[in-house]
Amino acid sequence: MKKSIKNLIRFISFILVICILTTAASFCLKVADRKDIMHIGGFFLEPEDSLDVALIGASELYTGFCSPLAWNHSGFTSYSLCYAGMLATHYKPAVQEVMAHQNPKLYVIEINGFTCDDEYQNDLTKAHTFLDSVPNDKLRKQLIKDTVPQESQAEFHFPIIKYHENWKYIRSFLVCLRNRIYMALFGQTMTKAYANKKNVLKSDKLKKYTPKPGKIADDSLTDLLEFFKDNNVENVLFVRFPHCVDNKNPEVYENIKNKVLSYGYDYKDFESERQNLNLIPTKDFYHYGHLNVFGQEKFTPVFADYIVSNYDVKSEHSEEITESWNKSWEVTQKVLKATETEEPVEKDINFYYEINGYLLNK
Amino acid sequence: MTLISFGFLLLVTITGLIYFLLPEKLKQYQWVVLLVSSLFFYIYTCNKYSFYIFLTIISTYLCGLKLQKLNDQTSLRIKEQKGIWSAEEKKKFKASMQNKKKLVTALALVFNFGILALLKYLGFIFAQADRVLSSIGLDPNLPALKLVLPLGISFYTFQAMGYIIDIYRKKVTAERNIAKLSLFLSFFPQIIQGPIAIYSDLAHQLFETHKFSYDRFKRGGILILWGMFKKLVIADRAVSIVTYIPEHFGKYQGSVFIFAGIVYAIQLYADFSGGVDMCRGVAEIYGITMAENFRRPYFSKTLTEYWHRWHITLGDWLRNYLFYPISLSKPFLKMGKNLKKVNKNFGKVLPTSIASLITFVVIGIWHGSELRYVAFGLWNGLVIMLSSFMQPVDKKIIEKLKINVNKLPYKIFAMARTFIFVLVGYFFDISKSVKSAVYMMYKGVTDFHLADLKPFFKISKESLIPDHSLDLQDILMIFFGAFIIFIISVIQEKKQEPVRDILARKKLPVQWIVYIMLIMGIIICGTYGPGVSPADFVYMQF
Repeated sequence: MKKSIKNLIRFISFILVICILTTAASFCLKVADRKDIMHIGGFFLEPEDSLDVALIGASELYTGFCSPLAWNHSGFTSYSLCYAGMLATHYKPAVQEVMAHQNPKLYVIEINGFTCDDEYQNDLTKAHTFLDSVPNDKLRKQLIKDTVPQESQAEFHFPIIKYHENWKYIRSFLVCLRNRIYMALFGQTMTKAYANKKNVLKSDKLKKYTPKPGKIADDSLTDLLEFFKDNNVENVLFVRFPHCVDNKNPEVYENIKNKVLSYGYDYKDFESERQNLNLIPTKDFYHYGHLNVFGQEKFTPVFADYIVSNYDVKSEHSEEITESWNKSWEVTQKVLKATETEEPVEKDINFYYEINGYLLNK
Repeated sequence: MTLISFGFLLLVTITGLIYFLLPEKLKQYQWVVLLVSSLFFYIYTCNKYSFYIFLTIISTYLCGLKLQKLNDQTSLRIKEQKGIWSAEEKKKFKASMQNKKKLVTALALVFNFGILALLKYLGFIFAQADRVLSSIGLDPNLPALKLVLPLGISFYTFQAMGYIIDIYRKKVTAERNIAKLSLFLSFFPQIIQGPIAIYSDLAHQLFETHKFSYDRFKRGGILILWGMFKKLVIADRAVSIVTYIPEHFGKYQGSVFIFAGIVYAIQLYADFSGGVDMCRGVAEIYGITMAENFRRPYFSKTLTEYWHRWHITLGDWLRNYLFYPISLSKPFLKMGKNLKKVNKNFGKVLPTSIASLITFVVIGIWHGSELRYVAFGLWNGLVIMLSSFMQPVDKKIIEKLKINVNKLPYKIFAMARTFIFVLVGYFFDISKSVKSAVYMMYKGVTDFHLADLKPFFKISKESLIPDHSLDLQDILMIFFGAFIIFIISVIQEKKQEPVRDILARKKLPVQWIVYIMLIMGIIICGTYGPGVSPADFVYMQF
């Protein structure tokens, strides 16, 4: 072989090895909220077209709604594609991801992201949490193009640019790596986007809350509604999950509601119905915005009933899927029980979440 | 466009592709490719400030041609008048031509160094004048000038003036093609921070044709990567320590200053040598070998040796064009002769020491217009002066104590002693004033408690360098990086050849493992990414 050809082959092989190692390093060093990695990643492990209901929103979902419990109570499959503090700009991309993998009969949109100001919406860390946990396909590339400022797009296409610094935080990246490996090895999550704890609020006093959505939130909501309309999606329920707050700016919800209704979709505010639902701050909430495990177990059947009575979401699933959901409920019961009674194993985040489902399923 | 940027990588790649893929017939124009890239890089980076480099190119070109003409005329006329002119007439003619040459050379020097001085020091002169006039009750209201220093102005000015002096000395002939001279003065890999090239060393390499060589590509590539490692993994990580501590010296104890000084020694070396390695690596890929600028400076056993190993090309330039002209000038030779009558050693050492002192003061002033830079130059010059005078005493002590200077313990002692002298100079460099430099050194000696360094070596969210995410891991990485440089330096010092040459003789898997470790080290441990503003190369500002 000519020396120059040999050198070229060597050089290309060397570059390939570097690319592989960089990709591996990028995967290993990727650190995000360890719960969110699993909530988002778990969605893509669900069999195609197996979900009856898709829920999209922020942390209210994984603390307020328990999909396996709803399955056991009402018989529909569901999954919350959510992460802590979901940005308004990510609702539509999340719906796009759902559409690419599932064909749900109902979309549930928790409106938290649309109540936040513009400064909040520009948080690139949250953008990483979401976009770095979805499959790296054509759609992801499009979502990056659509939602990330151009000057920051490189760090999404080549995550090592952002994550390389994590070599300093060995424990963090090892925990995230372990969670990813568990998902890769054991497949579907058992608890379907679940994270909660048993802590309670110390007082019944409601927290003063003044939502101040900005232009980004408003535009994103319009964009989402237009998207649903353009794609002929019929069943969309916009919902506000229970919070223990004294809302000083109720017009915000009113505006959202009016906009949603103007597009012909539904709106339901459970925040104002907290007392009717018998959700007590010192028993059912660990934070003014989040139900604890007891509140979640109270609220999930109520919300599941609401869904079933208003939408025809139930469908016949294959034996395999039914079996997997039954198994999921079985494991989730153990996780719920552990959440209610024991201290979390991972003291630094103080939550029970997907990883406990995997561990208890061993 | 900075040296570490996607744009620069693209420029190097595109230039390389065109440079090597030119058809055989056009290979003689390879230098044009380099010229176009160099001018593009300079104009793109400096915009309107590119004007200054063109001033230097044009003035250097014209003066060079004029000097060459005078050289040629002198030779021709003397040849023509051979056997006709008397020795006296020949001498007279030579002297008159020499005067004309001096005038042209002086014109070029004053004009070009004038631009450099004006841009570097006018702001300082205005500020001082304003202060003095205000102190005597006048209200001069002089504007606070903040002139922008064009990229690489010191480096291309030094190169241009070296070229002029070499023509004056008939060491080289003037370049008749202004485009070629432009390339010599603006060659893009070196314009940022040197090395300062001598025309006779670099020019012919730039204008020769070069074929692509895989081995050279590999050698150049490794040098670039090694430079990047030093810059991104070590130097940029240490920036916050060496800037924040001296700026807030009132907040810290003595040992912290010593710590900052040592970190600065690592940071400066990693930054400067890293940048130069990258420039040399790029040039090497194009087949151009650039002068070495560093030779393990911290292994020096005397301060004089240090200055022969640190920023070698600047040292050479100053030696050739400043130190020797001064020390070999008539007044200095006369001074030496007269002093030798009084004391032989004194007569031998004093003239060269004064010349050396002047050279170091110039180095100091070149670094900046502030007094601390003058102090930096004076410190180095005075130490060298004193050590020259003390050499006989030193010799006697060594003989009396029967110390073997070739043994390792003495070498280590001498290196440590030199490093301390170097470190003292660095304090003038990092501090904001002479006063604060002296304060830091004083406290460093009188108030040294290792315990004060504890917070630096603790995993704590409350960093000792506020607003900078500097963790214990970062500090450990700086020292680990320095350790790697140390190991490489020891190997080079022992074998007296570049480690990449040693490595090239090893088996392929060994080579690959080292290269992969180097690249992955940069990718994972480099200081870059969102929220990190790349630090400029320290010597870019000069």
